[in-house]
Amino acid sequence: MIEHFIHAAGLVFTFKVLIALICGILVGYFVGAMPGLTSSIGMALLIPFTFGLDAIPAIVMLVSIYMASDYAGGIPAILVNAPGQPASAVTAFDGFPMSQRGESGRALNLSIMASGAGALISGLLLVISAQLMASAALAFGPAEYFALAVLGLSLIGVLSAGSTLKAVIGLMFGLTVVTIGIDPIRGSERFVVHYLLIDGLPFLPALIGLFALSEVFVMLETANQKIMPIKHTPSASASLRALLPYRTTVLRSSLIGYFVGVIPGAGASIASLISYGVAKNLSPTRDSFGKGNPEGIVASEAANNASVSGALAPLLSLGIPGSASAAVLIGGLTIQGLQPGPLLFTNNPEIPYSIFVGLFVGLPIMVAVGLFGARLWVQITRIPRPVTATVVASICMLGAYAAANDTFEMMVTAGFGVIGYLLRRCDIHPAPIVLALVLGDMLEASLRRAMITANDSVLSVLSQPITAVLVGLAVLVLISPMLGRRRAV
Amino acid sequence: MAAPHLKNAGEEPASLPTESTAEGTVPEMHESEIEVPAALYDVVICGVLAALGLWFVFYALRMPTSDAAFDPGTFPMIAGGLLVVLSGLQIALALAGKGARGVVGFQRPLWLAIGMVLVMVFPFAVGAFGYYLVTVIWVPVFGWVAGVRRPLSLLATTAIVLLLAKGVFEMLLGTPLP
Repeated sequence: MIEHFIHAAGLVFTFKVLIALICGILVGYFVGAMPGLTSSIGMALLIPFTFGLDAIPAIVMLVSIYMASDYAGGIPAILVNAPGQPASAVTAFDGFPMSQRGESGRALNLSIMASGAGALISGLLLVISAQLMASAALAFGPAEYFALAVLGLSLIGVLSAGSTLKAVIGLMFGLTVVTIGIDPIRGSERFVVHYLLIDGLPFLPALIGLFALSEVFVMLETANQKIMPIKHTPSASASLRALLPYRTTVLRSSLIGYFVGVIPGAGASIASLISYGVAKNLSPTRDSFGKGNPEGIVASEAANNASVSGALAPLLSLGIPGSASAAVLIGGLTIQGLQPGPLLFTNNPEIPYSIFVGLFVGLPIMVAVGLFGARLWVQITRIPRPVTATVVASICMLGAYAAANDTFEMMVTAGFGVIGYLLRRCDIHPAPIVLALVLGDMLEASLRRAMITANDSVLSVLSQPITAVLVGLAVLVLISPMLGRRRAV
Repeated sequence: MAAPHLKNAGEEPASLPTESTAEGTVPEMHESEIEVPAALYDVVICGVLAALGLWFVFYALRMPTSDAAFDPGTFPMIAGGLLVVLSGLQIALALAGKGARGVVGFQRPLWLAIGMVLVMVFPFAVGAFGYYLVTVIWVPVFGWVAGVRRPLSLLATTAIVLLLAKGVFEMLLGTPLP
């Protein structure tokens, strides 16, 4: 492990990678501070820019965007009550009241320092757990991978925002359309209505359409909204001492964030919500939560930043994305010819270890950029929404074209943008669809390989201990909302 | 466990009523919002999804089969079949009025529809006339549809997009644009 770290450090401390890291942080802050743009949208838009880069700077840049956008989301949440990221909504519960009573500098300091502490603790957990998970997963066969994909998809279905049924409909839509193209086992054509679909639906253009272009249509609807004016634009000071009274909250929230992040579908929003709830329940001053209690900011920010590393753990070790942004990262890895999963640690150890090193190198930069650039980042919320929509729509089209130098990819992006928007309005969110597009091939190929190995006996496949446990868990996850509802009745 | 009250966070910023002019935008485009009953919208969307699922099942059934338990058509048949069943279930729930969401509102519907058409037309136009020519026209038009009204803002937005295309994609990344 140590030699891999040393090797990775040598690769990261090069001019090209450090520039990529800083660019990723700046883009991440921009995306994170801008309400309406999320880390997954930012990453989807930036993937085409990584085509010409080597694997390490490309991946380090994408991970930096992911990390930095979660850092930045808290800034507009505190100053203008406009969460830059969904998870930062919880930060606004106490951050905005603090800002209103003139403590915005302190709130920003706590937010960014807690984010940094959460990222540091979860980064350490990621280094320890990802390698262990990957080693364990090396023993997995097709049956176990099938069961893992089923568990991942069932968790995504149940834990996604909104109706579970609609999330599962989204999953099924993704699993259905992912079968277009060449059959992964026999190589026969399926649903190829046009020769351009012979390789299946192009993943990256579909991703850009579902995440980014569908958001452009939401922006078109809300073009007339005026952003709340900023009353205070303070500069925050870097004070670790301010965090000391909340060290237990930081540690507890980081652990909650990390472990919630590991669960596919749970993500930063749920991590910060749980962490906030726990902090509130354990606090002797629980009545002051929601009215500007600094501990609320610390709990939310430490957890939502810790969930980023949590989401990277199953991605790197098992090839299962822990969040929508992690699913986008799979797209970035695939474009570089890399397959996330246990073999990544064996065949390309420089990739996961460069990500680890990049996380730790980027951390102080992110804290500094957040603390000293707060005035700038909050101004981003003042960029007129119509201008953002126009630029994002144009980048969507450019990025889609760059995926294969073909206008067909643009058509896919345009089509999925419209589909994504219409489904959103039906409460079917893009994340389950994208995760099904990512895991669909693995699910089918693993199941069919497992069946071939087991001489077509479903019982033999399901009777393998790990498979049985994982499928049992998936069934439990799927029926648990119904059981909960019956108990409530 | 899901956090329904958070799901629009990050999408809808804190906003004020559209009274005064935001930079580069004109809020005078007061346009009535179209409201569709959520149940009807769910029925239509899930109906389309169910039809898509049926199409996949139909063609999966026509694929060659063998003695193996899983043929190339089996997985899409299961996924498509589940899509049909679940969409049907959602339609039934919507018709029964369970889990009602009130109405689905589409703000600025005309501009939204024009924006969608512009996005759909863009790839064909680029294929026919080339990227730069189409972009010089498309970006200001889309910007206008999005709500940018100041000529300078439209010009600046177009310049940013063209610079990105030429500087980053063509020169830096070596992606030749049509």
